[in-house]
Amino acid sequence: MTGRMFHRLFIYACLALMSFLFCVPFLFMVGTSFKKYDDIVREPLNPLPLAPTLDNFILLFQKLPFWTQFFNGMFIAASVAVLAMVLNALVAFGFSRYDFKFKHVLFTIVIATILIPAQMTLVPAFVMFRNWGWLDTFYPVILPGAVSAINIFLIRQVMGSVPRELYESARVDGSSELGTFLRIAVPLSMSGIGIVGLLSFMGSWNDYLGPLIFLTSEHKMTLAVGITTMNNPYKEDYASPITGACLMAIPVLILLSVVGQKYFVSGLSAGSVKG
Amino acid sequence: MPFKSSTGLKIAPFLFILPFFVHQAVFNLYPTIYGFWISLYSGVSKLTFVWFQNYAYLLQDERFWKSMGNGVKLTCGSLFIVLPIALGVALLINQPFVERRKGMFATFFFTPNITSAVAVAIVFSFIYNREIGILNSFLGLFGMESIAWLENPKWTIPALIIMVTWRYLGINILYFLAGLQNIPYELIEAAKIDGANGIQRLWHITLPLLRPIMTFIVFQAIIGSFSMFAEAYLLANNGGGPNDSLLFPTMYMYEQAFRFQKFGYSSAIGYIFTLILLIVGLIQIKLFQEQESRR
Repeated sequence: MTGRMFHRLFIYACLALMSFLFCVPFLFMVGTSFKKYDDIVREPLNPLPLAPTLDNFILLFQKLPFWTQFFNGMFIAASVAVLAMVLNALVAFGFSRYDFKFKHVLFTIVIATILIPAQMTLVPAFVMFRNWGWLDTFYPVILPGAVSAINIFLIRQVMGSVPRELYESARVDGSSELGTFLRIAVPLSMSGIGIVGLLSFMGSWNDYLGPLIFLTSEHKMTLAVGITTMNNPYKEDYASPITGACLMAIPVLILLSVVGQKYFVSGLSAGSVKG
Repeated sequence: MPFKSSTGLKIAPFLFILPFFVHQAVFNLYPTIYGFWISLYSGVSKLTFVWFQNYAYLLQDERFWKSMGNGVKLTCGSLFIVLPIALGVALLINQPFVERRKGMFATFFFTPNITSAVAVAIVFSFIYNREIGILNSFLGLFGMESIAWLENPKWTIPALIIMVTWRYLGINILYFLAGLQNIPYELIEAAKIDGANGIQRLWHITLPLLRPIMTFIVFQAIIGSFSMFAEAYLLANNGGGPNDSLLFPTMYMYEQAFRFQKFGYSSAIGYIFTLILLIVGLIQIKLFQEQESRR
């Protein structure tokens, strides 16, 4: 038995070490935000601020319209998440609930779009949105990400496990197709829909290229682009961008710890039948 | 009541899947065709129709091939460094006695992945900083030379790979875990009883059963590496890095289109880039299918 104990301890030790390595950049991110400039330069290896200060935060708020950019990002990310949950769920339901003509071909088309990289449409989409007068509005950073094959695939995987009898009995009870979708398919595949919402929100919140290209004015920008505009070429300012990065990571971490844990665990154990 | 009649039932599925096709038509198909049209024009403010001249230039453009080469280097990094480590960690987490803490570890490793690329790049530029960087100070403790991580073209790609490993390990662990879910533990137990050691069990049972998801993971890694933008762009301080050593195709497109206003040329880059990726994808699917049929 001791061999087995040792084996388990060893595995936990490995995992703990990896976890610690993973933490290091986060430690420095948080620590540096509270450090004085001199301390950052003098003691790079010490992650803990010896004389904690809020100077970096004050400086950051002077340099950036922080809250405006924060709420822009929130608004965009929330819109993307809501649209993604609704639209991808509708499409996934269409593919998992019904058998219809060309179903296989149409689904293959959906999956095939995964192969096309987003870079392909970078320039033409820019020109297109410019012609529509959409530059410096939120549309180009919300709408293109609203539907995607990978998310449809994710939700369809979960919806596939909804028993068909439920749909049939709902129909017998006189429920409309849309009613069946709302009352049966959505509640039962909430784990998949939730993960799609979560991933879409985070993807949008962290997106850099989209806002960089489509949003030009400072009060329309998101934090992701905002915190990169603070690089001062004359005086190395390490702390402000890192402080910004730190504040930017907070909503994501909160979201992950509150919602994510539940969905990830259920998402991970999806497919394994719990007795 | 909508969708009640029998004709309604025939239409219903198409109404449900309509959003995807409308969305694709507007935001993907139309721009794709339009992009090809744009790529046949040259010039900045006064556009002239030049047929395939952009493509001809592009095939001789050293910077473009340099950016593709960097994509290849990063891909090798992800395939031979990130994926094996991810598989190892996934196997560790998948041990039956870790079951209850599985979610915790998975979430833990997943955290860097959902931290914004911008935040990660900013923190890592600080870590790699030559004078006050943590990494060099750490190496200094062991009496090693300081490395100019971001100034020396030799070291920029390794620096990027270290960062990418940290950032993308989590998502790959999740993918592998999803694949490992479907391998019944009884199978592994049975092999144990038959006297197969760990390596044999991995090689003959786990890996073959992981093959379907492996295709997906490898393809994701390749696409992700070639599509690198934010992390490299910010690590190189809004550019391509020393000697273009951090220039990736997307960055080159961005530079041509939004710095030099050469939309035609940039579209052509997008087309060639997509074409190369599609070929890679198809080759990969073929390879895996052949392996499937040989088994």
